[in-house]
Amino acid sequence: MKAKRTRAAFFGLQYQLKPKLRIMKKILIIEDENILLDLLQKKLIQEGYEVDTARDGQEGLDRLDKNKPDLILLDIVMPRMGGFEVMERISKQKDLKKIPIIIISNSGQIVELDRAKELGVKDWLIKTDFDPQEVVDKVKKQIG
Amino acid sequence: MNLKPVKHIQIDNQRGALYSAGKQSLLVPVPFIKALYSIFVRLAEKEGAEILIYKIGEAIGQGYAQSLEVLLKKEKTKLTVKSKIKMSCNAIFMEAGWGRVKIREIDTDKKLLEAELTYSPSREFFKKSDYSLEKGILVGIYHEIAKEEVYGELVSENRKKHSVILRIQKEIPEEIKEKEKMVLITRKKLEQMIKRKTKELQEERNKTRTVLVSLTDGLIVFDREERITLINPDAEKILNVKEAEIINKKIGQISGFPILDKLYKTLGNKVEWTGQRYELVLNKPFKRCFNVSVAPMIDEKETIGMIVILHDTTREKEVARMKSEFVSLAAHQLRTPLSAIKWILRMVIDGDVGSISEEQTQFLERGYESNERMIILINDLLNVTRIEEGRFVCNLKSQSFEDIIEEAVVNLRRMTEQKKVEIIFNKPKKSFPKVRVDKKCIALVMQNLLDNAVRFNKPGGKVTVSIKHDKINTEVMVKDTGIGIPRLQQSRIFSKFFRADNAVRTETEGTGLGLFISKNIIEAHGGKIWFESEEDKGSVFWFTIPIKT
Repeated sequence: MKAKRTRAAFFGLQYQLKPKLRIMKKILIIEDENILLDLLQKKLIQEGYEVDTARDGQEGLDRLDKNKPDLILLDIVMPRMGGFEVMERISKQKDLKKIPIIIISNSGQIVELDRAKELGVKDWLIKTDFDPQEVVDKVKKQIG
Repeated sequence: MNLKPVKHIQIDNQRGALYSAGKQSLLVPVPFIKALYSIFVRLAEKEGAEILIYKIGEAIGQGYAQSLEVLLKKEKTKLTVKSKIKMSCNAIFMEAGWGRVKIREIDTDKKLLEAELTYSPSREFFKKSDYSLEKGILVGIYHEIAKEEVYGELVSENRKKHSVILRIQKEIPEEIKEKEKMVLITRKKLEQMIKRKTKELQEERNKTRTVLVSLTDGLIVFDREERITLINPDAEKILNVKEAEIINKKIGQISGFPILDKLYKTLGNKVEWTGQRYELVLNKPFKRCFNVSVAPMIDEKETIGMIVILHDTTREKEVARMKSEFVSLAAHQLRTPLSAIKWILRMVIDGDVGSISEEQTQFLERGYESNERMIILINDLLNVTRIEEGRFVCNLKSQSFEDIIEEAVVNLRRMTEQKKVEIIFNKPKKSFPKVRVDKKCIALVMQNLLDNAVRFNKPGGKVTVSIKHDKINTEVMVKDTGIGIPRLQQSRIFSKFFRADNAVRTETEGTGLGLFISKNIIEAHGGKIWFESEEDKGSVFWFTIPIKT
C-alpha cells in the first residue's frame, strides 16, 4: 500500500503522459471472462503497468504481433483458441518465446502443470486461490 | 459221539508216498498237501469211510507244512449236521490257512449246535489279513452252512482271540422265517425310497442348473482337471462359444476361441482360487470390462472344482467416469464466478475502487468469508473426484515439515482468535530431516487436522502439535481438548461425506471430506493415519510418512 501511494504521488499530474514516457512495463492479459479481465486490468493499471487485453487465444496472438508485451497473463480454457495452443505458437517464434508467461486458470491438474512447465511457463495461478494483489505480486516477481 | 480214529496218516515228500504212523516229518508245499487231501476224500468216499478231521501240521515258513493228518471213521454213516459243518469249516480253513473248529451240542431237541472257529494269528496269512478278510471267511462258512439248509447266526466274536462263535440250527425257526419276510418287505420299501430320493436329487440338480443358467453374470464350472462341466448362456455370449463345442474339454487344450484364450491368460493360464479378482477387457465389437472371480466348489472339505464368474462392469465404469467428469466440469465452471466474486470483494475491501466505511468493510468481509467457504467446498469436491479417478498424483519434493506446520498454524490464526483456542507447536530441538512429499497435499492434511482441532474445540481449549521421527518414519501428532468423536461413529470417521453427530451439532456447515482426503493423501505417500478419541475430552490424530531418499 505504501509503495503504491509513493508511485501515485510520483506520477501525479504526469499520469496522462504515461504512454509517451515509455518507462512502463507492458502486460498482455488473455482471458475470456470479462469481469476477471476488467478487474485484473484495473488492478495492474493502478500498479503502474500498461495493459493490453484479448478475449481469446487468437485475439491474443494478433495483439502480440502488434504490441510486444513484457509479460503475458494467460487463461487456459477459452473459446476459439485455448491457452496451450497459444503457448505452443509462441514457443515457435524466436522473438516471442522469451516473454515470461503466467497462467491464470481454474483448471490445474498435474498433467497440465507438467506440460506448461515444458513450454516454459513461469508460474501457474488458480484464480479462486489468489487475490488480485497476489497476482500483482507474482507479476512483480517476474518483471519488477 | 462215538468216534474211532481209523487211520493216522503222515506224508513223506521225498518218496512221494503215504506212510502210516510214520515218524518222519518233512517240509511239503501246502498246495501239494491240498491235492493229496482231495485224493484222500475221494478214496474215503469210495471205501465207504467218513473223514472226521484233517489237520496240517506245524509249518516252518510260508506255504510249507510238515504233515497232514486225516482221521477217518470206517463205517459210512449218514453225515450229521455237526460233521457237515465241521467239514465245510475245515475246507474253508484249508483255503485260508490254519484254523481250529470246536463244536458243541447245546440242545439236542432243537438240534442246536455251537461252533467256535479260531484261526491262528501267527500265520503269515492272518497277519496280513484285515478284518474284512476275516468277515469274508465267516461269510464263506455261512454259505457252506446255508447249502445244508441250516440256519446260522453269529453269536459273538473275539478279535483278540481271533475267534468267532456261530450258532447253528438245523431247521429254520418260524420267527426267523417271519423276520426274513419282514426283511423282504423292508427291502422293497427301501428300494422305493431310494427311487424317490433319486428323483428328488435329479429335480434339485435341474433346479440348480436353471438358477445357474438364468444368472445374468457369465458362469463357467470346471472340474478338478480344469475341464469345463457347465457354461451358462451369458458366458457363452461373452466368450463367443457354444456349450457343445467346449463341454468336458480342458480349458488349456481348447483352441479356436480367442476370447476364451484371453480369459485363460487373464487367469494366469490356470483355474485356481487365489482370492484375487481379475479384469478382462474386451475391445470387440465394443469395449467391455468384466470383473472375473474364481471360487472353489467344496464338498466336505474337498475341492471338487472351480466356478469362474464374469461380471460385466462396463456400465458401472462408464457411470463412474461420467459422474467424475460431471463433478470436474461443474467444479471448474463454478470456480470462475467464485473467483470473480472473490476478486471484486477483495478489491472493494482493499479500497482499490474508492474508500468505504468501516461497517461496509465488515459486511463485505463476511461476504468474502462465505465465498471462501464455497471455494473450499468446491476444491474438496474436485480433490475427491481426482482421488476417485486415481489422478491425485503427488508432486514429490524434499520439504521441511516444520515449515509446513508453521504455515498451517499461521493460516488458522483468524479462527484461533475467534474461538479463543491456543495452538502450541512443540518444535523439535534437534534438526529434523527433510521428507519427500507433495507440499500442497501435506499442507492440506495439516490444514484439515488443525482446522478440525480448533473448530471443534472448547473456548479456551488447546491444540498441541508435535513431530518426531525414527529411521523409517516421520510422525506428526495433533492433539486437541475438543468435543471428541462418539465411540460408535469412530469407525466411519474417514468415510467420504461422513460427519459425526456432535460435529454436526457444533458446526452446521462442513463437507465431511477433510479426513477422507487426508487419509488418501497420507496413504498415497505410503504413510498411515489413525486416531484415539473420547467424547467430550478430545481427540489425538497421528500420521506417519516414511523417510525415503
